[in-house]
Amino acid sequence: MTTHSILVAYDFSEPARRALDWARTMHAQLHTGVVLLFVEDDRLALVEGQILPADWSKMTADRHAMLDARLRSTASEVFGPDDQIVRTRVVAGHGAECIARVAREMGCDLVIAGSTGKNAVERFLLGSTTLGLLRGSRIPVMVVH
Amino acid sequence: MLIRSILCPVDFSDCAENALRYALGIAEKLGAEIQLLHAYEVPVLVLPDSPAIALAAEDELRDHLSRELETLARRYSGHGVELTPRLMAGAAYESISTAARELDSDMIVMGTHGRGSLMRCLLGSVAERVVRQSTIPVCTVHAPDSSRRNR
Repeated sequence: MTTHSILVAYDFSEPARRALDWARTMHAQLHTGVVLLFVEDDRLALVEGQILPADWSKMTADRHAMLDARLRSTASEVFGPDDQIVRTRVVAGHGAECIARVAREMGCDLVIAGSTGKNAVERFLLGSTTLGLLRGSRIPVMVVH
Repeated sequence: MLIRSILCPVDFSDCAENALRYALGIAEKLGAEIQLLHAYEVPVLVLPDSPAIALAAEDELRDHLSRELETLARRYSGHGVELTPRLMAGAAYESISTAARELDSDMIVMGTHGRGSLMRCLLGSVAERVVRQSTIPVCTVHAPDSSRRNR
């Protein structure tokens, strides 16, 4: 069992950044590829025209292109300009199932997730997505604090 | 953030062994060592209004588990990875936590559930507690597919 490609579910938060830093460590030592995934919650469409603008769905392609550019910018900041190391994906979906599906589709064999907090109490409160991954993912999951 | 020492707690289940194989794959590439930990508690029968009765002699239990652990370590030696068996008396979570601290582990690789867990509980209570409270990265590995089908 070897690790060839690591998926990091990235939402531009601090825990996600810690997960990405660990992906860089693993990449440096294991020479793996990295997939940087942003999951846009597809339930947002339910509040289109209410909380969100009426043209939210029509703007999906533009929004995803913008998010992908931000992912690529983050990847380049962390891994340097070599664009062979990191693949980026922006998908609409929800939670752990979506992350596990993308990991399978992209041939990843490790998912790294950041826990929500730094202190003991916050660490205890694992995010629901991380917990869902730990329970449901067939691929090994690494949680970093 | 270098990974030099991986703590791999095992309870001799298929799932733990799968995690050990995964840890070996990582350790081999990283040049890291693996501390193979098994924690045990002497089973005790507690009846009302009477002292607890140990259901096994601790010396015998320890010797038996020590042999099991060494056999497991030998089976997976030969990958060029230093594999050190460590037997600890105590509850699983506390032993894993103590071992990680005392052995200065950089990462924990463990099965999602142990021998005692029902397969439908896809994350065992020990693994969940370790993930929640560990200060170092914890990698959880599921049982091999064949093991899931057979249960």
